[in-house]
Amino acid sequence: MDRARLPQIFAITMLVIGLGPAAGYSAEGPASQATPKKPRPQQAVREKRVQNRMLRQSVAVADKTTPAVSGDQTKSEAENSAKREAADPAQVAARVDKLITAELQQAGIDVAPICNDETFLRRVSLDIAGVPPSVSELTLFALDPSSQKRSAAVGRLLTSGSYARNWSRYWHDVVATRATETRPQFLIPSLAAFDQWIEKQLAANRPWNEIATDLMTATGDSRTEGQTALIISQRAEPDDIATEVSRLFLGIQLQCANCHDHPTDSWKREQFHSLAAFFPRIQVRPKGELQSRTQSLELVSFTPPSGNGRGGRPGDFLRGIRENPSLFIRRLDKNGDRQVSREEVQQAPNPQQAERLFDLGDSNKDGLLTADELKKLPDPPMNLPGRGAAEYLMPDPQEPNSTGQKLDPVFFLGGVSPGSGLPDLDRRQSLARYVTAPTNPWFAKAFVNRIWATLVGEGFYMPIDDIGPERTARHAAALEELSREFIASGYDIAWLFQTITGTATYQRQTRPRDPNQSLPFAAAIPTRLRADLLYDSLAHVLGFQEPEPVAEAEGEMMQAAQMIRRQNSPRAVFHQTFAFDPSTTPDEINGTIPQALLLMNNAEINRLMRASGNTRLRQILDKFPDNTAAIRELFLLVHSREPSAHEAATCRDYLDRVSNRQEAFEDVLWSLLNSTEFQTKH
Amino acid sequence: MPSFQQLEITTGRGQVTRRHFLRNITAGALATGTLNFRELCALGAGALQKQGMSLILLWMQGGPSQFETFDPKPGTATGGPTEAIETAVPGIRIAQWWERTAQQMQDIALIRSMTNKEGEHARATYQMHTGYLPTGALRHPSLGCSIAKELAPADHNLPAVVSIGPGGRNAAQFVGSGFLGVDVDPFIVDTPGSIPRNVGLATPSPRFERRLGLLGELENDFAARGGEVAVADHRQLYEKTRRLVQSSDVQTFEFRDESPQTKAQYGDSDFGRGCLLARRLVEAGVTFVEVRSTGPNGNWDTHRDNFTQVATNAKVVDPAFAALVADLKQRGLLSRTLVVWMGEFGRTPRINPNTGRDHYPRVFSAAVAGAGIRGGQVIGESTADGSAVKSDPVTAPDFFTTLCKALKVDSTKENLSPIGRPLKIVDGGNPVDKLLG
Repeated sequence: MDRARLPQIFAITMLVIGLGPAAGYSAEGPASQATPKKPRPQQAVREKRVQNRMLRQSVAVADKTTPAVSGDQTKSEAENSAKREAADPAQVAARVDKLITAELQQAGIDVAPICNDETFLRRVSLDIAGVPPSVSELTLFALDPSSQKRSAAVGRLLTSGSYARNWSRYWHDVVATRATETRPQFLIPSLAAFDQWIEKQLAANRPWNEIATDLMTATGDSRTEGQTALIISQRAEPDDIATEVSRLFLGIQLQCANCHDHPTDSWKREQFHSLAAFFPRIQVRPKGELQSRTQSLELVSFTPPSGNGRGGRPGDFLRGIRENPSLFIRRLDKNGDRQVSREEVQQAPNPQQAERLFDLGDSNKDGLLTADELKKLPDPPMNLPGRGAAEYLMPDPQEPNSTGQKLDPVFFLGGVSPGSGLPDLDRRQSLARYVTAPTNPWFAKAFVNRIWATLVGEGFYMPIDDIGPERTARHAAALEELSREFIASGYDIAWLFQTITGTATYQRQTRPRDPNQSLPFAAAIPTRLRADLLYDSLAHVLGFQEPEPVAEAEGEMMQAAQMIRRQNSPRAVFHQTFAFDPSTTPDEINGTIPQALLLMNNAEINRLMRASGNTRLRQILDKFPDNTAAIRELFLLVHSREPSAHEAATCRDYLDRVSNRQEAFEDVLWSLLNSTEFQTKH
Repeated sequence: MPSFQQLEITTGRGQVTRRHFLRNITAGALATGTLNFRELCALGAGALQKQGMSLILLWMQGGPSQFETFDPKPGTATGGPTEAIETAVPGIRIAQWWERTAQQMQDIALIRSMTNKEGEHARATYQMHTGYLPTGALRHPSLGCSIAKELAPADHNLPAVVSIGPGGRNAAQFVGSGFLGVDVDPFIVDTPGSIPRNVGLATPSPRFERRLGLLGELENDFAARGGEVAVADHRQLYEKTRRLVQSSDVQTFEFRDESPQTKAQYGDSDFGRGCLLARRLVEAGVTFVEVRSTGPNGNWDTHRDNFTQVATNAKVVDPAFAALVADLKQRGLLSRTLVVWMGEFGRTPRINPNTGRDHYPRVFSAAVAGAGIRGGQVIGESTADGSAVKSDPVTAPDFFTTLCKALKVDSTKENLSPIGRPLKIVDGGNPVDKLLG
């Protein structure tokens, strides 16, 4: 849908960098003061990993000692909810199970039995830590007589570093697959910073409401402040940020109301644009050389120049120059010839932007900008999103070139508004408060539904990011129960994992989805492994090591090299072939031919599968001269279980037929790695 | 009775997915041996697809200068030193670097009045591939992928969409199948002229088959333990892949049976080999092939040394483009193959102090040939200094609608986004009927 875009103009940047006042706008001195009045202090993140809920609460206490993210009033609601005691995960899990099985029973659907220990351990290891269990972990788990061993295993996995890394990769895919910023020199470093940031938040088990607040209210350098990535990935475009904020944090897809009232839901066009009106004053500006491959971006609040009564918009700045060009010329004219040469422009505080203005204005192309030319300064031809504007203007679809209608920020759920003409952070912080308020059920439901669907294989709502008051949940009562308790826990993410994995629903045996069955959750369903899970599973079996992550590079050349290394790392190459949008309904994620080709034929993977050289297979064959034992070991390694009698017999027959032990075992390994079972979670 | 369209919309909402719908129909058809009328309509859609039409997109990454390609302005301040040459069609003159293309002008139509607003590479590339501007929460398909979805035969060994050029998905601003998914997702070829990565078998063929046999047997246990549907899907994928790997169609990717003369005509360059591969793929039944001109010898983003750089690029692209059109025609393929030459925008009339030209979406050129396009004509005109469109402006939707019409694809056909939002293949736009003869 081609949106009517406001003319978005680079010139506003110039205001901020100090050219602006020359145009006669600010009565209050240089506009370089246009940075946020109170720069948001960095949230102190505890490195120490959290062992249990008690410790998580102590983290929350520690956070209070640092300046609050968003003003005192902002945190109070979250704090109040955090003070409530989180319920015991096992008890909540039991209540959720009861609600689900009652509904299934009523519908006449039999539930599958609880899965065995090795199925559980593989499932939960992939879900939480992102890798299958080692053979010794499997053995120890099987031998453990404790009745609490499943929840204990979950607790261990949640406090392993793998949990935070695995889920940081999940969130990376969630954000990256919807990015409208497609320039790799901006997107890749920004997402790399995001990966590190979100991993720290997860390792410290920061509550989801705080993470969401940080993502909505972020400012700073895109390379060091990873929380800026959500906004940077949407190019700081107010309507695109609104779309993603609503989709990710509320599970409500409002963007259909961008151009017209929602065709099937009750959302009005104005409601969408009033959400976008929380974000007009975000400004993204490049840092570093324009042509550099490693340019970083800086996300700052845009403060319109005061004094003209109605707030500045980009167009106003150009109009100001047109009306009074001599002020602009005087500012830059060094040799007193009353015109501006390219050389003079290059000495401006921000020469890149000034040169753009120069190119725009120099209509006779004589290399000199005169007052006459400035009087006829055209609007720039390009869309330059994210430059910041004082107010949000809803475009008129009938008149795409008109100014549009100024809207105040209003949160569409409940119709609350922080007021008119507010500074950037006041707007964004108030939105974060509305979104994360415990009284807003959709914030918790969207998260619970997403995590539940990822773990269980199917959500209460599908697609997982299209929920909200206009949709009907399956097993609505169970979702209500989980969401209510998730809020009561203070949006404790680890608590949610403990609770979901503690349900019998999560622990059921696998059965194919019955398309005629109206209600889900009677059994577990095989789902495809995400790219990173498959990569790590391959590494687990074949025993290859990932190159150490590249240290933060200094200098342009080093940063460029680092970006290329990141882009070409084995994981990244694998990711390109296997990645999918984690918000997609699993049913609609099909395997692709390039994926099958890679696992079938890739030379490097086939080399690692050999029984000669220093490979994992060679080690197994050396250690287990008996074929039956070697087959058993291979199955434990690849499938995290022992072979069935039929499988063991099939492999032994194959060994007999081929009569070359090494070659036959290479074929067995090839078959196991190319199997459905290996490539799915079940 | 609900119309078929309504039915489709319900399926996209996630209540019943399309795959289940088809699976149910197949099961029903098997059980009764018959299909009712509506089911036939659904299944027959594939049979009704127009067979054999193909699209080749020659993509000039970076934004080629219209002044140095198909809209030269010799003797003007904005035209620079570039001269114009005569073509096979009297009255049509193009820039001096395109001598071979000039000889094919009777089959090529030029558009000198392309116009757009987007002047940033990534966004313009996205828009000039998909017809849509990038928006949050949705990835639009490249037009070629939408067309492949309409036209590609369902049961074919080769992929429906092939993308040729360095970098693959890493390439700057790669545009794929978006929400249309894997069936029409581009198959990447980075080195045209050789078997693509991972297509060559890792083991001799008999051993490969032996392995597949073992895999098939071992899958049974998981299928019986609840993985039945997943295993069936997986088997289908592996069978499709096996067919590709073992089919003689794979030889399409190599040029063993091409004469040295043919290869020479396309030129000794990756882009030339890409164009030759495009012809071979189209001949073998592939629906959409994109060949990207990019990298060290084909960056059209000529902010510096525009004139020498375009001349260098043209040395590679001119013979390849001309050879492709001539070769397709000679083989009788041009009537069913649409060839499009374009980039994401044009370049400024003003020559900057670095003898370069900067981004200029307001007016630029494109070239099209084949699939019923009437060659030897020019659509639209730019003003004398090349700063604006003088007549017959052609917007991105206009252009895309025209391409669809040439390929007999309904551009107003709606596909459903993942949340069930209907999106037309092209949103708006009027076809340039003069192009279609």
